[in-house]
Amino acid sequence: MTRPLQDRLGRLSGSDRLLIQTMSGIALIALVLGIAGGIGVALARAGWTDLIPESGYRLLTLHGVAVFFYWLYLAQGAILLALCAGESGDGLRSRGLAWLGLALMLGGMALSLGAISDGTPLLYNGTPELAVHELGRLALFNVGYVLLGLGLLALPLAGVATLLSSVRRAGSLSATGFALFAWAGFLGVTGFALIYVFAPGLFWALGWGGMPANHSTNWHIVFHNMHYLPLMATVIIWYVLMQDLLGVKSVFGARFSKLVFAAYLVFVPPTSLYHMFLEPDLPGAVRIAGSLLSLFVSVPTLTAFLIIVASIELHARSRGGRGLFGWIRMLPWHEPAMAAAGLAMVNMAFGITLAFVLIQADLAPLLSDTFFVPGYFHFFTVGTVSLSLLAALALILPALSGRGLALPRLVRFAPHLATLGLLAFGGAGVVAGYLGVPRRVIDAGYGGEAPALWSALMGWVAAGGVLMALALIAFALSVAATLLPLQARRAAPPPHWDAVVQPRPGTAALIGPLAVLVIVLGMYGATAAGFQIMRSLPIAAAGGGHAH
Amino acid sequence: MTDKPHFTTRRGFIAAAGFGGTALYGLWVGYGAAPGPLAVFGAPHGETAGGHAAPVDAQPSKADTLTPEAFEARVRDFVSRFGEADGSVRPQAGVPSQTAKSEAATHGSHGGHGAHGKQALETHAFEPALDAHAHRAAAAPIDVWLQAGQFFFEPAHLRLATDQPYRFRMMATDVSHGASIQFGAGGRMMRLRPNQLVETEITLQRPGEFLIYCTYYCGPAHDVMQARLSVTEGGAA
Repeated sequence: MTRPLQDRLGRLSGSDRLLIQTMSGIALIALVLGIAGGIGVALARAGWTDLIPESGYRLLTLHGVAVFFYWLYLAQGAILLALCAGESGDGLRSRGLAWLGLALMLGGMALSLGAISDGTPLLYNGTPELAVHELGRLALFNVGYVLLGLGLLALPLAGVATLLSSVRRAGSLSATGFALFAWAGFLGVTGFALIYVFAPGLFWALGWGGMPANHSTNWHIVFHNMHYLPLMATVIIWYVLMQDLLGVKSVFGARFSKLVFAAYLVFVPPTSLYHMFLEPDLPGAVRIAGSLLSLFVSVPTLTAFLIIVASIELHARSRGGRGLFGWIRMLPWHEPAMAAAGLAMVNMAFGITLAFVLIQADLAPLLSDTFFVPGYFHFFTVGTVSLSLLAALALILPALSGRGLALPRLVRFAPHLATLGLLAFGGAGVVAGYLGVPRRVIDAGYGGEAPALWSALMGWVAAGGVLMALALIAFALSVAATLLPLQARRAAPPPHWDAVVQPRPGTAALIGPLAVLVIVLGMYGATAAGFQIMRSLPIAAAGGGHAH
Repeated sequence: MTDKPHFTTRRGFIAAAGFGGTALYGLWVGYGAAPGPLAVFGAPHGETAGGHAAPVDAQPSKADTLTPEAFEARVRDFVSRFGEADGSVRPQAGVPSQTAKSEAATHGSHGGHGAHGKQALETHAFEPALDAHAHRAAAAPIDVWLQAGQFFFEPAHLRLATDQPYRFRMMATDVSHGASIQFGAGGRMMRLRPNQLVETEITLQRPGEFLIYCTYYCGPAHDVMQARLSVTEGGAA
């Protein structure tokens, strides 16, 4: 038995391969650039390198722009196209649109990164009010994001055209095909949202309109979708990897999977209010409604996680897997893609646990704008999404080029090291956030007035961050090596479980539900800690609203 | 050996477990941070997690909105009234405000705004006297005017008393800022949007020296935007 996706990718035309490989290569460059910026910021915050704050903020801008916007979306674009082509088995349709999308995104990246090379660092959200005296630079910065948005409108159309062609031919749509449709649609929505948020600033900078006074509100909404929708891409990748790497299909059927993928449409957009809890003119009723709605933000991700883990566990137990955790050892951890995807699931548990602390409006005055925020979201952006995207590329690029990863025996440990680093970074960061250490400062010492513990925690953040960054770079370079002609050729191994074995009736799938239980207990602990700290503060405060 | 699927592998169980995160609602209700299930039937909402009443949001009123210039005038007046020799500011009750008095007089001479002028005079010009011993907890709040700008707080050093309510009236007068009062192990922050007057009533319960810093990135010197809060028992020097 061979790997269906890899076989199909291996049969793609040279033009399709060139497109996907080019896009993947640029995505990996964006990732490495962004990580370099992140390392600089982490070292500066710990006081391990002497940077003036302005340089630190410039590195922070580089970090956010390169990783959050260009790595995440170029990689998603490349993987979406590869999976659509793999699903179709007959190559990409409307390839010109995909090239146009890539060209727009590449142009956007050049402009966004060029615009941050001097002047006031704008951070990745490009607040217009900070660029009142640098309108030309703001225009360049915003044109970059608008081009990215246009690229995200054009590129997924090629994926949709490919899927439609496949549906016409096959007469049906698999669960993966359905998920890819939804993913393509979400990329388009993200593209539209980017244009909606950043075009007004561009028009203002060009003198064609007033200053966009509602930029921060619009940003919060687009930011929510930009950092939650990649989680959908992540679970789709897990779903595909489960089939191609392990030879396991969902035991719950394609229709159930389709429902879960469609649930992202229902649950993610209305749950964005919690990003605005500190806004002074947000009515109290909206804060309460925002908290309650946000309780549902994890529903599709947790359900997809349960489907995948239960399906794998049942297959493993049917092949002799024993014990509560023993079956996990049967998985092919020697494969870097498996290691990356497996650790991504672990990191997601931490991310969801901590994210739920922030959805409570009463905790916003304690935690918003503190290091709690980067502490938790790196579990998502790095530990979950980026590791999953790298896992997908570790499967797709060797299939396209016929060349293996560089140093696979070493690189398979990179996800473990990245997770270890992330635990130090995120753990210390979250504690720092509870204690009040601000995010988005380069020197949090405040001339010696800040507690000494803050500095120690930033040391842990830096040490963990550097380990995480180096591990991620190692994995990225190993994947990128498949694009080089000198790399040795290697045939893809067959799926781990290459014989069809039906799960035994009555077999339990325990790890998924247990993981959810642990996540919920973690949420209780982390949220209760926040409430207890709030109550222990020697202050009684009411209001915070917009007054007359 | 059974032919039936284990309950953990049924779609209904998986779908229900996917809603696991919503279980956090119970904790929120326990801490009074969310309305209980009976709230729809009119049951009262408890005390909030911060140990205080639910935030009261005063909706902006265009006619009463302070311009940044007027706000800065208030801050200058506040500093001049309560400024001390070391540059710190120690607000107290019962000290008349020249700005408020003159504004009240101005408004009073403009027919339709007379009522507002009178209210301003009552609220700000002659803040109610404080019976420090008998009625401190119930005392009327003393106004504290705090301006946030690139890259400063004005005043930069406040001296306040424990157990005395203060009404912090804050405004970011250029770009967005934030203000967090740090207590060493946790803090309380507020977001300040440009030219929006934000009001928060604060009572400090422990003496000490506390850091106030800007929480919202406001430019290259954001790191140095800080102030000091000195809190003493009963406002002792």
